Amino acid sequence: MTDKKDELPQFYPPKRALKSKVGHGGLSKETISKAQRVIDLNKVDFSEVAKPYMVCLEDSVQKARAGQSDNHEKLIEGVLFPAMQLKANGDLFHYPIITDIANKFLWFLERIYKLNSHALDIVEAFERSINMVFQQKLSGKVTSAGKVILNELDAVCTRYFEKYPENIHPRLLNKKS
Amino acid sequence: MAYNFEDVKILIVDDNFPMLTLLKAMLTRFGVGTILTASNGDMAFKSFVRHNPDIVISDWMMAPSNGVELAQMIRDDKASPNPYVPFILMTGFSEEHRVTMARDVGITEFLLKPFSAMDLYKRIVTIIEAPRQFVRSEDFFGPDRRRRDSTDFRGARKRKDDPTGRVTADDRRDADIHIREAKKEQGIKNNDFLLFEDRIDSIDFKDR
Repeated sequence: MTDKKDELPQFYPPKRALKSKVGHGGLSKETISKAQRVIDLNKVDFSEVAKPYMVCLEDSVQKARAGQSDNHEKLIEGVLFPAMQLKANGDLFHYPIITDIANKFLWFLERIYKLNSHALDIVEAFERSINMVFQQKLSGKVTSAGKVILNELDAVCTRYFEKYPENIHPRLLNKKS
Repeated sequence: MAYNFEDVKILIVDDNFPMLTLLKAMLTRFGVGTILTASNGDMAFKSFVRHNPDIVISDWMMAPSNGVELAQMIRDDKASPNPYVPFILMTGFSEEHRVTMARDVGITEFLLKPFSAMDLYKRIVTIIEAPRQFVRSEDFFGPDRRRRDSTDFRGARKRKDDPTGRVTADDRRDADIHIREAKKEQGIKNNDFLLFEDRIDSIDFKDR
């Protein structure tokens, strides 16, 4: 009997069915622009879309603050989910500043090993910043006020990792440069 | 002449209704004939089995089953009508370890959120114009994960035609010289067919 591990992989040639269905020539710039206008002109109120994510973020922070679980991976995942959703959707619904803040937020969350008290302080700084953006309705192009917030958060993260290098995830320390 | 998407069926999956509506409207502008929608992986798989769409575009994070689980069902479930279907995963995650994890369940393309109409279009074009071969191995079934012809891979060889190390232009030039000399020694003319029994396995590049 052959050991399955010794079997070589099987290859299947690519399917061309879709190509034969759609033909040649691509789409015109006008067609792509029309599709882009769907994004540019949508009237969705993102503060409403974001509400469940903000609630989820707050709940996750409270759970972590309560200190009832030592499963830091799960605690971080709880915060990561709303952060990712805010990053993914902000810019599509006219809040590019939310995407930028949440992107930095995700960057921070992907780098920490434990969601301890000091890390939670940073998480709450992000949460407050996002709430402030919604309160002040900082939609549209990122303003100088928005840039100030981003720079502050960036500086906070830098200071955090300088002060607590032991909380950098081992996954990143083992990574080849 | 331009693409005609009239006969194309696309299944889009997202639990965020405004996002689903936006994506549907964009695909409609592209001229896609049939757009099916679902709000989670389970619903999407039922729709997939029933309608057998040409492309699946799904968000990652959904409950009760997410986009990665949907991809697994499509690739592995016996009820799947087309395990080879192109699968675009939309996500806000861009960290390498997450992308690798999703790639390992057979995702065809990633669409990083937030995206533009051009980003979406480019992923669809890649699927149409450069479909990848599928691989079935002990622990993987999906599009070939090797997009580039890498020559600096130092790990274990998995295929009989995998090179044993970096092949440089100098290596190729030297190999040409050796072949010419071997042909001369054996009295083989330039146009004669040459059969190498061991091919690349007989060449050791380690010392170069």
